Amino acid sequence: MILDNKLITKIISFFKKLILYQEPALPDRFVLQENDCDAKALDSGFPQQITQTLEELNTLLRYAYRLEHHLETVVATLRQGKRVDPQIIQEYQSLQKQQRENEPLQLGYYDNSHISKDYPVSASLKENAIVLSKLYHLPQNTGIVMRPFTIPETPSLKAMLVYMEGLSDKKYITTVVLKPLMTIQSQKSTSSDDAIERIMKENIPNGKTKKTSNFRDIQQGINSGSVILFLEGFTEAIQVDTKGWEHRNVDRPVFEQTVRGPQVAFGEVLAVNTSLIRSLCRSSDLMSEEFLLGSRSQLTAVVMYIESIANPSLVAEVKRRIKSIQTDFLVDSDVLQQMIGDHPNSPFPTTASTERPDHVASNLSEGRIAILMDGSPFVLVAPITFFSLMHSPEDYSMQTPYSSFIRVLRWICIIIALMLPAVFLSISTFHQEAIPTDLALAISVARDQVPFPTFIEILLLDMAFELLREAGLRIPGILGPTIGIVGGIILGQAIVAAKIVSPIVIIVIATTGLTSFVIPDYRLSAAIRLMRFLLTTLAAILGLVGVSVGLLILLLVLCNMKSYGIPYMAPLAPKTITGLDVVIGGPAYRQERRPDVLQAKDVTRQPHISRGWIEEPPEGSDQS
Amino acid sequence: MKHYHPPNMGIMSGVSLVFIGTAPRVFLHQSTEQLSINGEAAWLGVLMNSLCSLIMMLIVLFLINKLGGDFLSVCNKLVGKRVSWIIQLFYSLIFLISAALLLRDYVESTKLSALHDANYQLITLVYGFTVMIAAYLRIEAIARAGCFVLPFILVGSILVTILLYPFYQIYQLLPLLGNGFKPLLISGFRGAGYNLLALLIVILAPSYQNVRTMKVCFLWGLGGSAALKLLYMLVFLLTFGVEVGMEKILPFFEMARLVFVNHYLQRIEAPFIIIWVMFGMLAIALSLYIAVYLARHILNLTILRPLIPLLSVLTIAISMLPENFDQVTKYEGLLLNAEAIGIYLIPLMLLVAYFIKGKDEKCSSE
Amino acid sequence: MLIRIGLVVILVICNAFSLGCNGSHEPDSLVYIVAIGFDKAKEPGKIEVSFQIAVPRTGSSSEGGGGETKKNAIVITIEAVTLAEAYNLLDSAISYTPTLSHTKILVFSEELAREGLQDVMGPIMRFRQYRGSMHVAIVKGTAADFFKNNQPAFDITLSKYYETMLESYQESAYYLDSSLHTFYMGLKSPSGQAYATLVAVNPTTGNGAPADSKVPEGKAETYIAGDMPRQGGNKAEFMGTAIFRGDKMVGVLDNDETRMLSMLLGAFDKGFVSVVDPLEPKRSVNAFLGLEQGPSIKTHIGNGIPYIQVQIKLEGEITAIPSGIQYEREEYLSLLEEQFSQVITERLEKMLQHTQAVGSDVVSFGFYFRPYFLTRLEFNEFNWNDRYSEAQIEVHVKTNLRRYGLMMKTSPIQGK
Repeated sequence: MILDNKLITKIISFFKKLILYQEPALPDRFVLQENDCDAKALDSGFPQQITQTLEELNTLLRYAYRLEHHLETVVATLRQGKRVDPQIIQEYQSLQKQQRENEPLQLGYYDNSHISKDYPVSASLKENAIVLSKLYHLPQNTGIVMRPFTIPETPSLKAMLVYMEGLSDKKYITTVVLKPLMTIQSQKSTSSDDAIERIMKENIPNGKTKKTSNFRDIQQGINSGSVILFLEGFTEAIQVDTKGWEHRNVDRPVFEQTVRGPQVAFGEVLAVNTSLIRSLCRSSDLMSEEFLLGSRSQLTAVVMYIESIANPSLVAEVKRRIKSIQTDFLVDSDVLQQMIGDHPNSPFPTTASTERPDHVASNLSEGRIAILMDGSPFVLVAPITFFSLMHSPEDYSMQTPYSSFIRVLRWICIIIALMLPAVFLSISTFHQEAIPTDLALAISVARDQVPFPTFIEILLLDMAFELLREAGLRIPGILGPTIGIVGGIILGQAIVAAKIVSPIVIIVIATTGLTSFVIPDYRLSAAIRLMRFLLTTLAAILGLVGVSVGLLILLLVLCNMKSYGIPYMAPLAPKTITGLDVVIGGPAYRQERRPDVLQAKDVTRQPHISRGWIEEPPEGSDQS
Repeated sequence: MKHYHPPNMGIMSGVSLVFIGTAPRVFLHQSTEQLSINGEAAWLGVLMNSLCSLIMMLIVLFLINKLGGDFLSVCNKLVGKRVSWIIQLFYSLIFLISAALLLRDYVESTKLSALHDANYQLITLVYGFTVMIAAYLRIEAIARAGCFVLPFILVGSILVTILLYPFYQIYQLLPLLGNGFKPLLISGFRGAGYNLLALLIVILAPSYQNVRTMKVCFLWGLGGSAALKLLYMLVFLLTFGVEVGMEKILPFFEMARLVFVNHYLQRIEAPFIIIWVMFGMLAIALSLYIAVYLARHILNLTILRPLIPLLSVLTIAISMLPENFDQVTKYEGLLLNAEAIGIYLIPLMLLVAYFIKGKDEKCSSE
Repeated sequence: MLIRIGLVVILVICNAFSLGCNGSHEPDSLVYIVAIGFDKAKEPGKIEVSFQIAVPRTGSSSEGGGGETKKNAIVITIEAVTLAEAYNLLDSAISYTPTLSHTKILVFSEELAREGLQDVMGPIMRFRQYRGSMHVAIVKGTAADFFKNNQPAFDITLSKYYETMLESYQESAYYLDSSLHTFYMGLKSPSGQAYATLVAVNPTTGNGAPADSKVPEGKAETYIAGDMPRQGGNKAEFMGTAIFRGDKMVGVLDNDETRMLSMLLGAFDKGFVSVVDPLEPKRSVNAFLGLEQGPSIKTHIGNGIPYIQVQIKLEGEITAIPSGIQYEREEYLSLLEEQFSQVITERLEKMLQHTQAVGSDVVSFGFYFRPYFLTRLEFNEFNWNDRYSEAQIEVHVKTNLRRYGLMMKTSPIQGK
């Protein structure tokens, strides 16, 4: 203080500023504070706010009592047939004035209170507008369009149109709602009670229209693309379905491509997906039941099944599980699968997830259930067995001997993908006698200068393969071939030349990786890859004994699993009547029974002789 | 107390369970013992074993047919609760010790053949752990895994026998009666105890819908394991003969080692390890599970699962009791005697009790 | 709860990994012993064990330097009391871990074999690294010598050499392969005796030393291993059989007798046989014969003397008729067949007399006497092995020459 404005201090501070490094004056970094909103809300302004609201409430109550009393007198007067007193008219006018005074109070009421979802639609358009802006946090939240207009009836009816821009089809709204209503030529009065019904029935040319009376349904409608029509003086609003957001066209399948067979895949719009299934399965028994999932974002899930085939207790169980889900957001069908599936901790999937409608349709015809989710191009099929995960839709398009051969090949591949590194490791380190002598000597030579034990080599290469696979998912398309060359050829060549791994281990890992891609279901191949690591570790510790112990435990766990009530490893264990479609497929004319394990209502698909032309002689022959 | 109903199982599961329960000793030194006792007539001895055990099982089945329920309720009805409790305790102990000795046998075989330098206790622990998991997942999982593994076991076993064809010497099967008629009879009758675990079908009778199913399970299961044992005995005799065969501790291992078709297809005993390890684990787990099941009835408990880790640790401890292999053989002999009592005496006792009590079920003490 | 699970997992992992590698060996830390040889040491009571160890290399010498072939194997000879001790002593001599899992052949010197193999062979099946598919051979001379001189003529690994050598006996049946299983069974069996392949080192000077078991009508000389007159090639030679009585070697069968033995065992697949031409004694006829079916052996016991009748059926094709006589015609053919049958019968009888003289039943005729006994006790009392010498054996051979090769008849050579 003494030194404050003296010359010396000024000179010193001047030189300090010159020499010392000054940090730029940036604002503080944003740090998310911990959330104790629960403690705060109760403390602040406790007594004052309560008394204020109490006063407002009292005012409104007094007005309500006055109104009620007035209405009773009016009704009594009219019933008695007397003329209307000027006193009553005066009372009415003063009530009107009071209402106008109370309006800001009433409208300001919503500032401090939390609007419950079940709040009913009010007769006043202004109130509805305020409720909506509170719910949608307008005007900050853009996207909601509120368009007031007048319906030119006698007397003219004020109306308001609310919709979400982008989710609704604007042209469609104009054609279906605005135009007919604005050019209405009805002679009836709008003040009758059934005006809403009349407008709905006669003036709105849309297929899906319904009345709503609480804000929960209105919110759900706006959030899914419908347009809500509020009418002044009516406590119900009209909801018109005008969904029309931009979406991807129906395209070829990305993951399940086949050479023969239909090339259609599901999209992200629920209606399109259900329509694709219905187009393949044109039965009036095909049920599709809707469920709304999620409390903040309400997406629709649809359960489809064929009523005359599917087991009713199975359907009831699936519906029960879906209905009981309580969560905030549920975006994808795979997330749904995790919520309702039987063994969420097991890497083996208990539902099939497919993007082909023909796959879903054929499963539905066997008695299974399809679960679709809005916004997800993958449809879940439940219940499934392990063996049906290994079926590919192409099996039905090819001739039976070839498709049986390919199926057997697939099974051999899955065993190779699971066990090859483990068996190789155990035989080359524990049981060298099983290899021919020349090969054993060649392996010795190949491993001559490799510094790592075989187990580490295999782990290293396995990890590298997984890395390549994961990286391949995220590489931009332009760089893909380049990285392929680098990773595959150069790295592979260099890693052997640098004697980090031996060439035999590369062959083993490459074969394993290749065979793991033969598995049709992606999640199953992921599970197999996981199991392979465990088996390799067991093989490194205990050789073939470890492999067999690991395999046995895996088998036991698989046999113990259930997928929506049916055993996972049916029909081999427990033995059920299968109908020739487990490992080796049979020709189409012999598929007489549905899979026994699904306990379908109607078990036979086709009679024993399903090709009538066999029994009858051809036309024009002598035998007739 | 809620009566624990075992889950529903079909014929195939039943057959595979009986097969698993009775066949695994074919991979161990049972063949050698029978060879030393019977000489060239060992295969006749095996046949007699299976026939006797089948007859005894059918007797028990007859009783169940007449009285209904499962084995334990039949015991209750015929001999009263106290004696039935003793019978259950007896069987439970037999199955437990059988599981322990089988575990010991398998560990010894593994140490001899597959993992020569491994630590004995590590192998025991690993096997014990697997058995515990298998028993923990209950009998459904064991039965289904057995269904799955059975074809591979059969194919593998038969493959070995076929590949040994160049070594067959048909005259090794003669002289026909081997060491004589008396040893044949004695070992034939006594050896029926090897198949005691087939009793599990009648213990778990509520899983199988009716007596006809159980009969089919017995016939096919015991018949199948008898066929396998017979085949193995025959092939062992044909390739090795009695003098050399008496020396071997591990017949299956030796047979697999002997396969020599040309210089590419030789020394293939390693892949067969997978077969006999899986088979053995399932068998030990089954024996353990039945012991636990009976123990639950004895101790009047409501649930089964917490007992399993307990009794599997006990099994592991018991399996480490014998000090050397000779003691293991001695204990197995004692166990066989106990099993023979269990398979002959008790069903006959029940049969006698049935005929004494007449067909009057109302007088049974419930 | 999570901590408990974590602790259990850590304990399990530590347990599993800390107990050593459980007998696993990296494939490049092992070295494979391909053959083991046993010789008598100079000191009494000791044996010299030679290990022939395969050098790790690929089948073809891709990195052959300077024109000389790389070494296929190294031979290490150790003097010890037992094989197990020698095996342990070997550890100090080579850097790798030796393993017997790929051993192809066990070679015993003749000296050792004549003294008795009980100490070595008796317990051999106990150790798990010996397997029944190993082969057994007896060497004239010492095994160490044999190994040193065994340089395969072609550039193959030594294991392949042994494997192919012991499989190609089927071409000529001049030597038989005797696996450890067969040898061991012969040792312990009351119905027969053991035999082993005879091997030796041939000096390859071109001078041979025929064995003296030639039959008058047989045209070919007979040899045992090491005596074949040849030059060039690998010095190691496989020919003939060593026959045993109990665990002692008592005799040697030369190549022709070995062929007869293979006929009696039912293992004679193919081979060239030469006989004197019946119509022109200066020339010979050559045929390619093989067994048509297994030998049919009938036995009966009369007055305590065992009688054996052997019926052998041979069939084959004519391969050379130097004299040009048209033996393809039916009437001459029977003559030729008769000649063949007679020669082979004589040879068989000679061989059987030889084995009976030393009391070694390598054909295991004892098996065919088993149906006459009901229990093992009775059969053991019969004591076949001692009775073999007094058995009466009859041999009948029938030869069928069904084909004549590529020629139907021989036209005479003109202008001689």
